[in-house]
Amino acid sequence: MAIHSLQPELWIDRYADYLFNYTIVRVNDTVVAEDLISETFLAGLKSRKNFKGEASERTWLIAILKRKIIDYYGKKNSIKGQAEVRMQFTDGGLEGDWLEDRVADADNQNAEEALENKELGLAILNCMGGLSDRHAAIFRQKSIENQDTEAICNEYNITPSNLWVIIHRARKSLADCLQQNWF
Amino acid sequence: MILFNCKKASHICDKAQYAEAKPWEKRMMKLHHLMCKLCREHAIRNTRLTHLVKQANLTFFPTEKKKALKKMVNEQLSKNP
Repeated sequence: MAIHSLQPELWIDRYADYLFNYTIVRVNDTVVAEDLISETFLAGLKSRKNFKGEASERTWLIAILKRKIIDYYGKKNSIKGQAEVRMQFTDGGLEGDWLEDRVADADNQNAEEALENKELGLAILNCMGGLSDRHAAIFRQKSIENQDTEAICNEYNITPSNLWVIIHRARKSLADCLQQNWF
Repeated sequence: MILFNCKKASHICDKAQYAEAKPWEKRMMKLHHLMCKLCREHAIRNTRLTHLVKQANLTFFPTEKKKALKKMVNEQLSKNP
């Protein structure tokens, strides 16, 4: 029985940031991440009639995105393979003279920490999904983008007192949501 | 007002997370925390949240591209409702 339904008109507002952070940690390239997310939404639109409603909208979009990421690495590895063949030709087929051997290792010292931070980011975005759109936007502008109180008040036509009430409620809700995993 | 009540202490605690609390407000808040365990614990949790949000180093999908994507999605939806 279908429990969930799709609301494609809300996809960008609801999931673009979440999917973006999900992708960045996996492809480590902003432009590629943007392209993969655009492709994911397009693919979602095309195949929305196949949605059975058994998983949530976000889970379904992530399943499509995972497929896109796998395809991206498939293409990338195929290009890399061609480069290796060229190396063999120019170097006279010296054994073990592969392209990878010539490239210095990337600095992976903090890779685990970076991955954990990205997982934390996804947890925060997930918890922000529980806030109203307005509260989430105000919290984001104030806490993540570090915008001035006055600028946010002007944008939303609210008083500083209103803003602090919204911030307080958002912070309390996020702290409750993150309590189990990260506090 | 000599001492803050819990509501005021909580408000100053929020402002302090954004470096917008005045030094005297922070002193009064800390004085309140000496007497109020609940607010003290709330402040620890609130500060931890600030730390986690900074640590997460969140990135966002560019606003302009969001607009373009929304347009594309709406066009697709109007073609194939």
